[in-house]
Amino acid sequence: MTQLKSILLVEDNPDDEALTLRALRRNNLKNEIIVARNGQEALDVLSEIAVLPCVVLLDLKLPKIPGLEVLRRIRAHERWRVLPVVLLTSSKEERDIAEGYGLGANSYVCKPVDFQQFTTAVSQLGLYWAVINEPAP
Amino acid sequence: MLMHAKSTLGMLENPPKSALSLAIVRALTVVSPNTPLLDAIALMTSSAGYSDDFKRSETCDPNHVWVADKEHILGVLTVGKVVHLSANPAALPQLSLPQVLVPPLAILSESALLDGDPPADFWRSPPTVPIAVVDEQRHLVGMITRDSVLTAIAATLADPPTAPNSSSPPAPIPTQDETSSPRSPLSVLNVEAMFDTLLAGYWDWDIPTNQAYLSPGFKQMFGYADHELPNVPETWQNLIFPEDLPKVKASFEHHVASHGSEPFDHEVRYRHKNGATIWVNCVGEVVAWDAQGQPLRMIGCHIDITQQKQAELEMRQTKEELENFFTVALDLLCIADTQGYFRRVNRTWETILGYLPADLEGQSFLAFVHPDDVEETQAAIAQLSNQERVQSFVNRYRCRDGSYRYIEWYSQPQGDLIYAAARDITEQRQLEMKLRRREAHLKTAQRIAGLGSWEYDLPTGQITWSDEVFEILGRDPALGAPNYAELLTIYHPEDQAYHDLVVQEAIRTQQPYDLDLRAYHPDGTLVYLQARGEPIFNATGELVQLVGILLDITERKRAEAQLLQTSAQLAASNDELEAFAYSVSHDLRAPLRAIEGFSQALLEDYGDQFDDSGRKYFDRIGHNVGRMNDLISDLLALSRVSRSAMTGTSVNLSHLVSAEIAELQTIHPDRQVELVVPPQVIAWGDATLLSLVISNLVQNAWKFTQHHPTARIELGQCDRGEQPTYFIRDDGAGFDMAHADMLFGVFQRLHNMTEFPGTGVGLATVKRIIQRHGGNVWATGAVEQGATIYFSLPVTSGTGMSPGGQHHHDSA
Repeated sequence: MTQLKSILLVEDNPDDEALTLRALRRNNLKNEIIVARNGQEALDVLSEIAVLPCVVLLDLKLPKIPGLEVLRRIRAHERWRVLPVVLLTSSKEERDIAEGYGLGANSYVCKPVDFQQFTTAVSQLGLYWAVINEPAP
Repeated sequence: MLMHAKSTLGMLENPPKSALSLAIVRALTVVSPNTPLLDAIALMTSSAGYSDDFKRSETCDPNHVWVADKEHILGVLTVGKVVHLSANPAALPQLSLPQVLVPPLAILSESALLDGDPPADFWRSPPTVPIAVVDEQRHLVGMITRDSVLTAIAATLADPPTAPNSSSPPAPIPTQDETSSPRSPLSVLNVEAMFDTLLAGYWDWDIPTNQAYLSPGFKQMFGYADHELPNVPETWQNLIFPEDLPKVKASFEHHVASHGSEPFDHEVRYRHKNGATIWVNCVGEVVAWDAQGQPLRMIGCHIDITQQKQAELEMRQTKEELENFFTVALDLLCIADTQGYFRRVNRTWETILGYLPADLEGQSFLAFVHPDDVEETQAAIAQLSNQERVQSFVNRYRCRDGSYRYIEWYSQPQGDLIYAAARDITEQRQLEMKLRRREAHLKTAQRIAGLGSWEYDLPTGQITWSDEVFEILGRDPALGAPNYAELLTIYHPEDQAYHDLVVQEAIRTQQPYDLDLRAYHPDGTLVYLQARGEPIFNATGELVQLVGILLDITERKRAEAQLLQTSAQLAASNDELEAFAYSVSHDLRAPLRAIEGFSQALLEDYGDQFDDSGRKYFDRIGHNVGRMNDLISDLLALSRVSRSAMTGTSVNLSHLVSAEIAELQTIHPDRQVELVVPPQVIAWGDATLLSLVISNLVQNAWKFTQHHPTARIELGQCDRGEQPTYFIRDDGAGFDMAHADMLFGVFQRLHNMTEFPGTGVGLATVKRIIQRHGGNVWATGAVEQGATIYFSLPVTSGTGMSPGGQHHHDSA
């Protein structure tokens, strides 16, 4: 059995963090969930980690380094270039979506306000990227 | 006559005293030289009235007024002279007596005359005017005139004085000599030569025998020597113009019939030896009658009046010419008096003003002057009365048809008369006024537009400015326009070289130019200018001029700056709005999610500890979170409507309405809704935004008709003027028109949530979109009778829509 890759959650809001973690746990995912609470921290985690996470759940609105900038740096980094990044954000702004994809996001997911929808969305995300998706070698 | 005078000198040795003394008229009118001319003339014509200055006897000859001061004789005023002067009566009051009197051509001392000892050269020039006769002290004692000589001859013949060298009895018929010509009794008396000279030729006719004596002077007048013509009546009858002969005969018969009281006096023509015409004034008198009153003998004299006749003829011709000139002149000519009456006008008055001369002559000319011009005209008349000429005076004259014409006058006063030439300048005046109006128009236009015009004459370097250029550049018009070098210095130092470059380039390439520049007024005010110039070529294609305009664009520049500033501010506030919306989108939702999330978590994890009532509270929390979320979404949508870019295109509203209804019908299949949509309702605008408008309006219509069993939703177009106007009408709940204003406000609702759900943002969004298109939106309705929402969309050409919010990627 291959070692389970971690999930990197980049989220500055502790409430959202708690709700996201709760949703991810709902599926009994065993993957380690690393939480970075701002953009810089996210980049630091990536630099230090031995095995890259299976997915980065990246919020856009982050202290220090904003989400899109984090994404840009990830894509600019040779090792992280193909790392799956899902933008998980409250924003439905078209231009955020467009720019997110433009910078190479693998997916763009709006956090639903409705708890059920939110839980479903996040748990499916976790399941998909941690289990179903075959990561790049 | 000179020859004749010489040849007769010898005959004057002993002139008969009595005969000559009879010819002297001693009763004279004598005035001092400072007597007014008119008074002197009056003395000739009136028998009464003389002052102390005048010596006058009742027997005075009325044809002569002598002028003398104490010392000497100055001259004589003759009737002939007065007649001559009276041709121009207006001048008379200005003339003084010495100016017009005839100087005495001959002054003879009485003693010399009576002694037969006048100066030798006296007889050389026969006097044509009266001869003054003076005494030893050279005081005037009398005069000799033609009439007086004739009278003297008549008297002498009637009662001949005893001649010192002849004892012959007075003979009515002189003795015949070998020449068979009758001899004049005067020649016997030895005074013939003198009388011949004084009278310039005389004749003597014995009627019963029909014998005639013609003096040498008589024959000399027609170019013949004495011996060349026989002394017979046929002689003069052959010389006289045949057509004038009856005149002589008639005059004679008249004289005889009146027994001498009617003078024998006529003017006839004789043929000179050289063929010339000699005009003669023939004066004669029957000096002897028989008992039956038949004439026996007649004497008379000839005066050569050819020159006088010639002068008369010339004068008549001149007068005719003047008359013709007066008649045919294209100018208005008139003679008027200073009392203000027309005396004479020419025919041009008829062609120009429509009046016949008879309509005007004798009329007051002020009566024809425009009422507004009367005062000035009177001033002009006053000037003329002061004998000052008036030039280029213009007033308006009323035509016969009642219209007025502008007349320009050149008037010359002369005494009480005004000689005037005038010209109709109405058209010229109208042109002038038109031109002046245009000029004023142009000036005003230039002033209002802040636009000046100029010319730059290349060969001379002369620059011409319109008034407004001075105004724009703040230059004193008294300084005149500058030359080119000075002009450059008026401009902003940074613009001088560029201006020069552009102008030189325009001259070189012969192309128009257009440049913006700056200038400082003398008071330091900075003005922005637009200068345009165009080359002007002469007939041979040479560039001779630049003409152009100068426009003050300071205001525009200010407005541009203002606009830039406003745009920047707008952009900044747009950015802020965007940041705000972004923040709302993120930050308002996060706590909601937390509330919802944790209340659900609470319910999931500890649900069994809540009873039904507790669980209902959780439902309420969830419901409110949902509503809050809707509000946030709608607000964001509204803000997007304000910020999104717009592209103008043709939008088919019919399709949009139908599609929206179809979708709603799918969701609510049980609703009975009648749809009234004309096939091609087309609007111009941004497709996305207009579809949002339709979707909002149709959803509203759908919503507010939901409590009715059947409903009707209608799309229509009802253009108001140029503005295409559309409406969506329903027959639903409607609204009270008193609240119509609230309808389009954000979060404004006229119904409560339980009746009709909604956030109150839909119509606000519609309004925002329509306003961004430059249109208007309004509503009509009544409670339970439906509502109609109207919106207008101005026609815009092309894709030019007002700029929408721009997307900035400066925050995340």
